[in-house]
Amino acid sequence: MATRLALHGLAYEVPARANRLDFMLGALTLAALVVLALSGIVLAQYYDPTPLGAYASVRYILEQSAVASLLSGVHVWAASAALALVFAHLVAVFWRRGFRNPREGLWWSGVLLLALLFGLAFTGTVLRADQEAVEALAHATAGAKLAGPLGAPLRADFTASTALLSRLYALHVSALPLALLALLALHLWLIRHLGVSAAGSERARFASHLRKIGGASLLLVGAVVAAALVWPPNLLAAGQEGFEVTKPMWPFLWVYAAENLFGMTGMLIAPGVLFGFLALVPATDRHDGTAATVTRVAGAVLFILMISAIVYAAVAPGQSHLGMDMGG
Amino acid sequence: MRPVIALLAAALAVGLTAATASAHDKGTLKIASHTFAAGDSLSVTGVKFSPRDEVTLVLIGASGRHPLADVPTDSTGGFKRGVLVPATLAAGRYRLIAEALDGDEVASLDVVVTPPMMVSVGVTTAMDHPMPGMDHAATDMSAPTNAPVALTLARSTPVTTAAVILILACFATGAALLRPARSPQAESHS
Repeated sequence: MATRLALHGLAYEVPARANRLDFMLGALTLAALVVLALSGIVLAQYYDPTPLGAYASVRYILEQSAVASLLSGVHVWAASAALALVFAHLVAVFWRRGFRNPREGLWWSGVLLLALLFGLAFTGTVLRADQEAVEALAHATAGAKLAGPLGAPLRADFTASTALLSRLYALHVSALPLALLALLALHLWLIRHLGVSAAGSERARFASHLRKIGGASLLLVGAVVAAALVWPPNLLAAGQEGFEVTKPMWPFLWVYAAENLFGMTGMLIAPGVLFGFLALVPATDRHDGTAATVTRVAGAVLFILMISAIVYAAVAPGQSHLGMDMGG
Repeated sequence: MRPVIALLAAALAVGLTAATASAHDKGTLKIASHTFAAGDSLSVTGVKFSPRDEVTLVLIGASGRHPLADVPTDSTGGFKRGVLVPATLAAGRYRLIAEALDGDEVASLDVVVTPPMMVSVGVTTAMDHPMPGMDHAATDMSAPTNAPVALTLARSTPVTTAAVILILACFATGAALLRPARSPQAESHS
């Protein structure tokens, strides 16, 4: 059986340090993504991706079906876990310079995966069709207008026959997951062939590494299900356009903070600065020297700024943008 | 040569007929007020459309297309029809359009949809007949807030029990897998 399943392909060694938690953050992100995919498949059986039916179907999921209600909580918590883990993974890899030759491709595919996760979190937020969703969509369509032809798919009149919400649903369940899968395949392929960027000569069998990853993943799954049971997701009232009374999901709070400070320009520039920096890292920190030191310091400052902005935006009073009303 | 010319003439005639058949009279839509609330019933009058045809009334806004009704026109190309504006429709600027059967836009109006029950000038309210699946909390008449809706979450003992068993199984198996191997020397080597 082992031969038929080619299990000998798993009989290789990895650095023993790879069994440490800070080297397993990527694998844990993958575990969260698997939970997201499985719970999302079930939720798709209940969700109505039309502007008129979306909100009512979300309420149905939460109020009428015990399984779907629990799984919607699992979906939301797994999304938060995936984003927190992928960010922690990014910081850990940045800190140990896991992007240096020959692992530039690994880094860049990881950065693209992070962007896709943000895309999935955004489209997922909009699908709830509540007040937060309408506000998120208003910001995205305003940004899309500024982006010119690149933002065309986010315009309501991009296709006359299908509502924007339905198209975002299609993105959430097909295009973005497919792109994620393709990038994940590339990422895992590169890890398999370039190895983990862990120092030290001590080696461990990959099977033992897999065992540790499996253990940590099960703890993560248990924690996500427990969180969904204890802290089920909230839902706001059906969205009304022209108002801004909510704050975005926590992974977007740093963008919200930038918008508070610099308006629409800030909302567009903040992600541009982050992803531009991340894209340049393998080029500027190629060898030890001044450029490498500057990159390291800039990265540390950027990450600290990002976390500070998230905390600031979480505690600061809400603000409205794009000329929207703050409601009562 | 003659058969070829006859064939071309026939094709031209068929093409012209088809082109004529697909053309639609541009009509005019009239409503009592261009501002109405989500959930209201709206009386729409149409004139100068193609006689004995059918048009679809659609609201188009930032959130997409919201078909309201398929309406047949009479022998004069007119109609008068009451339509229900969905209670779930987000407030904002929309275009009310009439579409012919082939999707051609044959009339349009710029309108403003307000939150439910905020205005009712020249329209009758339909809050007694909310959309299926919507209750009072979902069609809150006040300005929106960031306060969550009071939900009665669906819970069942078998599902909760299964979830608790799953959690315990994940924690127990996960902890067992993370335990160090009995003989580290056998597990790893320099």
